[in-house]
Amino acid sequence: MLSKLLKYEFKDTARTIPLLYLVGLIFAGLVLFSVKLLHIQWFQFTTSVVLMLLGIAVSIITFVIIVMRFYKNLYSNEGYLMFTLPVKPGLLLASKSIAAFFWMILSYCFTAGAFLVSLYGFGVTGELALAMDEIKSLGAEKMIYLFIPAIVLATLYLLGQIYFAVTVANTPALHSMGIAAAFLVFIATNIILQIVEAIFTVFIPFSIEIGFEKINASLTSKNMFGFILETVKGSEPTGIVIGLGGYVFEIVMVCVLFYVTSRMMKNKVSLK
Amino acid sequence: MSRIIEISSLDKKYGSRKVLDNISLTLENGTIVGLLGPNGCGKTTLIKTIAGLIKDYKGKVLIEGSEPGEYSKSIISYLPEKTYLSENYKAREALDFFEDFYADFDRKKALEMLTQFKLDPDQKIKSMSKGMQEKVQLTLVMSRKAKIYLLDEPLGGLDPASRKAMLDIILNNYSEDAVVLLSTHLINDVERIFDRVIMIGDSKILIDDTVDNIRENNGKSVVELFEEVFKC
Repeated sequence: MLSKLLKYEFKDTARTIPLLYLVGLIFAGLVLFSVKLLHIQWFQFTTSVVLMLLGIAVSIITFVIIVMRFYKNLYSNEGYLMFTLPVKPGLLLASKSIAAFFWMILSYCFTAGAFLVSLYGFGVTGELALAMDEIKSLGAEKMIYLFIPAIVLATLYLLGQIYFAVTVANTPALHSMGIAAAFLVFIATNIILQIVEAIFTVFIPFSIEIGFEKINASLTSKNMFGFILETVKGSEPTGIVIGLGGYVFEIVMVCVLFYVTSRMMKNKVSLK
Repeated sequence: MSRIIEISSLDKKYGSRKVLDNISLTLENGTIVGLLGPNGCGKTTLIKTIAGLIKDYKGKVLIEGSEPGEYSKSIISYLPEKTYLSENYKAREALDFFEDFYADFDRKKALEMLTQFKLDPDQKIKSMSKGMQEKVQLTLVMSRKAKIYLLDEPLGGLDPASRKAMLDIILNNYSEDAVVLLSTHLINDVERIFDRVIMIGDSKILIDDTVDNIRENNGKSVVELFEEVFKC
């Protein structure tokens, strides 16, 4: 059943989202065309600016579409169909999450691509290459790969919080507040989670230590609080300590948020 | 006939307002049951509870012996009073959707019904009138060979001619061993198809009897009895 749900989820979301990419690709083409063939500076600059803005807009619009899709498909009139399908509510959530995750990651890639092409249009690719060489000379190019799991985790974490908030808002206790309940629950959940995550990041003795001299990273049982204290005291740090407790907390919370949302969809949600 | 829906001591509140108060009833297969009452009396809430869309109720609701869930949803064909199809779908895509998710969906029958209603399978739902959308939904629901049909105000947005056609569709397409629970406040049009009627008012069941008994014991038609029970 998950494959069938995914089929319709992708089919429905694909009606709008790829159009954004098409517009972006047209502008990327215009930027490349103006750099290679046209050589009109104002046109090159304008298309580069538009492409950069489109890159940002694509990620934001994709995000908005995904959130609206979740609400509309499950908790508005369409929910009367979705919640009467002979499938486990957890599968409904899984299909929405997988499709949303795919589109969000694709939008990040598009944004990154749009930025690179825009920078090319601005004529700053030389500086970019120099910066990359600098990073490589420090032996830090592999550090870039650390961003990938961080982005994946952050995306899942955000989706988990949004789906949780929208679902809580559709339990009978909050029906009277309407859509405002989803915003309030999201803000409250986000603030609480950020506080706890900050505590975990700073105090849990599980960190990554990055040396300054020759950039290298290693896991350590130091906590970030000690590093902050030393820095405040004015001692010269030989590297930076970044607490990983927050990431562990995020991984756990992603599981908790999706599990609780799935349980609520099964046992608590009542459609208005 | 066997009991397919069993409800006992069902209570449901919206805030402090009680909508269903100690409702107990059983429905057997092979019957068409009218759920009658004025607007806001709890008909939709009762149907949504059976369909598994409302979970915060007290009491017991059993569908073929188990609580509303994945299994009950596979044997219930539910028509809500709202348009629940994605506006971006064409009627044909809605048929694809039902065919994918319901093993008992008969596509050939659905296409025949669309033709009968003079509906174009390639027309988008959002470009259809409310009445046309209702006909597409009824087509989808009645093209399943379900054990339970829950039809919530299926005649609400239709003109009299369409109402008659809709009732004929229901009569001609429901499985003989199924139960049909049809809620309406437009009784004049539907009395002829009911085997049994349940009248709800003030969140309670006021009358639950067969149409034959009502006529025999009260000497009145269902319409006349309804008007007497819900006299303003």
